[in-house]
Amino acid sequence: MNGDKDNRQPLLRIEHLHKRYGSIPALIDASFEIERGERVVLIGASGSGKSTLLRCINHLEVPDEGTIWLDGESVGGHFTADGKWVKATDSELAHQRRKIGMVFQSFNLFAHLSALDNIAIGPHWLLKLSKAEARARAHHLLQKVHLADHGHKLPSQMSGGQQQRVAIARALAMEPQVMLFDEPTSALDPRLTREVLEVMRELAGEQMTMIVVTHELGFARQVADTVAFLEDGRIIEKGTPAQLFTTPHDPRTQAFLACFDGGGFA
Amino acid sequence: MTPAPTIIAGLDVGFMIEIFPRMLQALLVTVEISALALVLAIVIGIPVGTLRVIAPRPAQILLQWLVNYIRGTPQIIHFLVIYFVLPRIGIVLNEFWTGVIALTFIAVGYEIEIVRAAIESVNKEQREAALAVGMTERMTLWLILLPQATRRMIPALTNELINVIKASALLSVIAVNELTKVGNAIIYNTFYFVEVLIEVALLYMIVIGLISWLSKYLENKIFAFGSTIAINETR
Repeated sequence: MNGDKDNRQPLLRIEHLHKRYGSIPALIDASFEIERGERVVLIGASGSGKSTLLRCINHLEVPDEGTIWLDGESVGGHFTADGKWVKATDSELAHQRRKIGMVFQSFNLFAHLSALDNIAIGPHWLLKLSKAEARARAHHLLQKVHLADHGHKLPSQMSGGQQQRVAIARALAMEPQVMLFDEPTSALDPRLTREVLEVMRELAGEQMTMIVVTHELGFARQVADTVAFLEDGRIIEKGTPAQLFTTPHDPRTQAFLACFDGGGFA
Repeated sequence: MTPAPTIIAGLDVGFMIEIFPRMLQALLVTVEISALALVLAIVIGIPVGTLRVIAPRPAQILLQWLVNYIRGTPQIIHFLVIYFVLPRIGIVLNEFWTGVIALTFIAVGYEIEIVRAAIESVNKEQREAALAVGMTERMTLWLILLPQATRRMIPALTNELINVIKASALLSVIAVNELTKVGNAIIYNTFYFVEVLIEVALLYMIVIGLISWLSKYLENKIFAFGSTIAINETR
C-alpha cells in the first residue's frame, strides 16, 4: 500500500466505485480525484447517485466494487500484499470516519443533547479532550457558525437553519480532512438556506476540502472549483462552474440545467 | 372481644381497621416479592433486551423464542412450572423465592420487547450521525441510542412493573402469604367480603400509585432530554 502522504497526491481518490441496491444500480464506475482545499459540487436529479457517492466515501454505504483512498489510505479496509481486500474492523472504520466530516439533509443532531454537547461529544469521547477542552472547542465552533448564544438549546428548540449550522460545527469539531455535505439545505426555506450557505461559504474561504451535493446552483457557481453532473449513477460530465454551466458538452447536462430558471446563474 | 361496629356508608370500618395490621404485614410480603422481582427484572431485562438488538442473529432468534414463550403463556402457568417442575430437576425453592423467580421471569420476557422496541424506535439517522462523527457501534449504542431509548422505555416499563405487582396476587395459589391470599383467608373466616376487598384494592392502589409517580418523576427529571448525560459522565 502506498503510505506516501506527500501533498501532491490528491487528498481523496475515488476509483471505479459501483453500488447497487438489489437490482437497481445506484452508482456505476464512478471515479474522481479531489485535491486538498478543493471544493467539489455534485449536481443531478434525485436518484442520480450523488448521495450514494457521498455516503460511500465514509462507508455509510459500503460500495460493491471500487476503492476510496483518503490521504493515501483506503477507506473501509485494506489490500493485503497479494491484493486481497480485508474489511476494516468497526474501530478502524470509526477512526477513518473521524477524518471525514458529514452533514446530512435532515441535520440528524443528537436529540437528547444540547447544541453545545452535540458538538463536544465527539472531541470528548473520541479525541479524548477533557470535558472543559471539548466544551471550549464547541463554544468556539458555535461562534464560528454564528450561534454563540444557542449552546444550551436542544435541537427541538432550534430552527432548521440553526440545527444545520450546529451539525456543521459538530462535524468540524473532529477536525476532519474533508467535509461532505449531503443536500444540506434541501429541507430549509430560502431564508434559512441562506444562513447555512453563508457558513459553508466561510468554510470554503478557509480552504476546507468540501464535497457538496446540492441543488443550489448559485452556490455551486460561486464556491465550487469543480462541478460534476451525475445521472443514472454515472458521472456524466465535470468541469469548472464556468465550463459546466455555460458550455455543457453533454446533452443530458444541458437538459438538466435547462430545468433551472436562469440556469442557476441568478 | 366484640367492639361495637363502626358503620360508615354500610361498611364496617371498625373491622377494616382491626384487620389493618394483618393486611399491612401481607402487603409487606407483596412489596418484598415484587420489589425483588422488579430490581432483578430491570437488571436482567435491560441488558438482555439490548442483546436482543445487537447480539448475533442466532442469539436474537433464541431470545425471541423466549419472549414468545413468556408472552404466549398465562402467568399462572409460569408459577406452577417453576413451583412444580424445578424441584424435579433438583432446584428446590421456597414459596417466597418461587414467587420472586417467577415474577422476574415473566417481567424479563416483556422487558426484552420493551427495550428492543425503544432502541429500534430511535431514528436510524441518529445512528448514522453517530457513526459519521466517528463513533464505534458500541459507543453509538451507549452514548446515542440507549440514552434516547431509556426515556422512551420508562412508560412501558412502568406498566410492566405494575403488572408484576398485580401478578404477585397469583402467588396465593402456591400459598405465599401475600396481600390477596391473606385477604381471601380473612374473607373465608369472617365473610366480610366488601370490607376486605376494598381494603385490598386500596392497598394495591397506594403501592402502584407510588410507582407511577416515581416513573413520571424519572421520565421528566432524571432522563429528560438535555440533561447532558453523555458529557457529564466521565470515566
